[in-house]
Amino acid sequence: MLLSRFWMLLLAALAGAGLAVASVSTSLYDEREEDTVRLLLVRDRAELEMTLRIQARAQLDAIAPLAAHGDVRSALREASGRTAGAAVPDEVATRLRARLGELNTQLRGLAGDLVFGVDREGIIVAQVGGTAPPHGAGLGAFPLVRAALDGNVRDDVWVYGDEVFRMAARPVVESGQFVGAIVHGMRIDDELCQTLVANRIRGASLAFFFRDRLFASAMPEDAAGAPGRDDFAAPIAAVLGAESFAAGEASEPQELGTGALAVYSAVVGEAAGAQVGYAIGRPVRRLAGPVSILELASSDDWNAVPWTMIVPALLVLFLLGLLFTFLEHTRPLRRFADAADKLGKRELDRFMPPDFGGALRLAARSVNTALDKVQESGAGAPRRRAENLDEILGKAEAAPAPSFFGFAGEPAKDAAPAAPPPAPAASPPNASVPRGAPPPPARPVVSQPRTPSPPAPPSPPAAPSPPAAPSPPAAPSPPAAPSPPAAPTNASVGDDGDDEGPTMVSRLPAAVLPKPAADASSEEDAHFQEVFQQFLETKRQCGEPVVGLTFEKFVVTLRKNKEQIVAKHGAAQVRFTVYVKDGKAALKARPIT
Amino acid sequence: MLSLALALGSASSALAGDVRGALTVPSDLASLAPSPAEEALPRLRYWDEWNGFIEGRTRRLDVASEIAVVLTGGPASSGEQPAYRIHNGTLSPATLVARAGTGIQIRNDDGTSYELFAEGLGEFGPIQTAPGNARPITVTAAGHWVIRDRAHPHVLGHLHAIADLVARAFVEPSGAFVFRGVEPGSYTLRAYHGDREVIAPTPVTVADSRELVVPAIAVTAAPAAAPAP
Repeated sequence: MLLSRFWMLLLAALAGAGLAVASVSTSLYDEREEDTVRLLLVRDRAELEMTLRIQARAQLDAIAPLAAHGDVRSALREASGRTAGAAVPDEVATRLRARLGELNTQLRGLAGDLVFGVDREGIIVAQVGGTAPPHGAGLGAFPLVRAALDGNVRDDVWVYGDEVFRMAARPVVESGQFVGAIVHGMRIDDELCQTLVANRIRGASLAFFFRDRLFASAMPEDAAGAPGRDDFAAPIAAVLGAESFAAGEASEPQELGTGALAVYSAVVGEAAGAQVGYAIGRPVRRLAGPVSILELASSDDWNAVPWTMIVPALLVLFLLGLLFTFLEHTRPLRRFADAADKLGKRELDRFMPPDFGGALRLAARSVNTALDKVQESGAGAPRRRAENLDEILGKAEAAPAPSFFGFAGEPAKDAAPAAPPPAPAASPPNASVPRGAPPPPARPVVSQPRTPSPPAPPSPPAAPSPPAAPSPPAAPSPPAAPSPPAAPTNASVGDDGDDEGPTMVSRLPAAVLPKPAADASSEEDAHFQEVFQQFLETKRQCGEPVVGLTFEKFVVTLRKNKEQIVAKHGAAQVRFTVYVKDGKAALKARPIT
Repeated sequence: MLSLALALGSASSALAGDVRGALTVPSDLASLAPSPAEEALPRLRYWDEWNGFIEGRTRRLDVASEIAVVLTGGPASSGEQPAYRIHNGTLSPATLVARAGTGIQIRNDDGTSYELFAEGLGEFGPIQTAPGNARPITVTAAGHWVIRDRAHPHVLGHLHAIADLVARAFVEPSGAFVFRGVEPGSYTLRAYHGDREVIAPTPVTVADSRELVVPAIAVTAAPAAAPAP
């Protein structure tokens, strides 16, 4: 069973290793994916900043014609030349508004959502877009406008009227004098986000926020799991309180509720101080489990697998498993089945447990025990022709007969119930011994057991025998004397009686030994030889000592018992079989008519 | 009784006179507006370039907005006072002086909303004031607070609440000032720029209803660096 167990252990180890590798691979993949997304977010922010910078430049360049237009310059000169404190003339305001509207329309994609023409103090002379300002309203203190009024070209981001605008401003110069400025604003809205997501930061989601309110956003169309506008809301409060936001730095990647990552940053401009910023998010494709990694494989990946190596290796491993299973499971089961079949056909008397291993050996022993019990009870199962010697020879004092014969040498190792030693063929006082019957052979002396078990009875005296006469072949054997009070153990044949005491076998006088029939002697000898070899082998397998066990001694006992069986049952022949009973070798005799 | 009250009021106002004067403001007095150094801070803009053909204008101090001239040491004057308002993108005046315990209103005269607040003054929190609306404020205790705007970080002002404020002057860009309708009495002339007084307290006695001209006073306080927006 070692091979198959080792094989199972190997398979289990391989399976466990495979699961561990898959689990580790899943974790590694998730970590790599997250690292990749973090790097992408860094790149996305740099890309977005660069794009907004370029757009600011484009905006500044686009309003240059507005600031240089003659009508604009003259209108602002007139407005700036009014008396201090006086209102801007309506005619000037109207004229300038119309001109700015026309020029703004011509900007097309860079047309402003808010365009102001301010005088040299920053007072609004004309406005295009948005809500009309009150008379006298101004923008002079806004840093963007102040810079433009001082002669600089500059961009900014404003919160104006609860909306957020990208602003650009240029000074207006007339006759060598600063007479005002053009202030141009483009709203930050979903359309801007969509353009940026589609062209600059593909695969990422973008959202702009003003404090805790997300006011513009866009998601990629082809990215599964991309965060939406609402997904960006949760981390905003923490982001706004962080020092990195006030410093204009990008936040650490924040995990959104969908498992995506997002970075937050303030815009470039005055609106950063009003907590206006943007967030860029990307989904993180985490694996649902170790098996999910297979879903990522493409057809090329599958084609790249070295199937020419893997399939043969699998076949070899499979065949090895089959071989080990055959060797350690199938074949022993077949042997057991065959033995059981023979047992059923009466070709075998008992299972030979040494022929099997492990649980099958235990099963064989259990079957043998069951057979013994059936035989003992005599109920149900038909009487087998191969009977226990005890039944053949008769029980001695309701205890199993001691072992068939014993041998000089080591005493029996255990006191397990052994087959009761064969009872000495002591004729009972009232045994009817037919005249002419040969005197029963002297029984072998059974040694006294060492353990406190009932001692073996002494050899019964020879029954008063009639005058010696040639023994008839079919003479019934005298009834067996009561078996000596053997130990309850059923010692196996060859054991030292029913316990551990050494057993001595006395050599019978040759005169009392019946002479075998001439025509069956050779066959009988061969049988006895075979039985002896089997008995030796069985004893060895059972771990019993075989020192001192010789064929001569063995055959003497066989012959004697044969005679008894023949006499008792009138059988023509007796066949002996070796079996294991209670872990010890034993013999069974089967009379054959 | 009504006619008598009116007569007394007329008589009082008839006694009230204007107090004029002028401040000599040094040219190096720092403005409350963000300095170029502050504007060089990163991430305030992508581009800030010279126009390319005309030299830029130098920054100038808005004396009328940034310097507040007041009389203290008496009951509140009933004469005309300059309004508090948001105009041209900032507070006007930027240095506000109010009598402690009295309410004032700051009117939004611009085209966008503002959210003014005073740092550390719970009575003056960031509440949006739409264009054309006025923000009422009552400061109960005397003290000084910085005023900012939550939507427009460039806005910077200073609020001084004085217990014995009498009157606030109309200040001209040149530094000239006038108190209108000051009742006769002895007062102290003070001037504030940002968070500090920029002249030594000057006693002024208004004897009658005739106009009083105070000698020019030089602003002597060291230029104060405007707090960062």
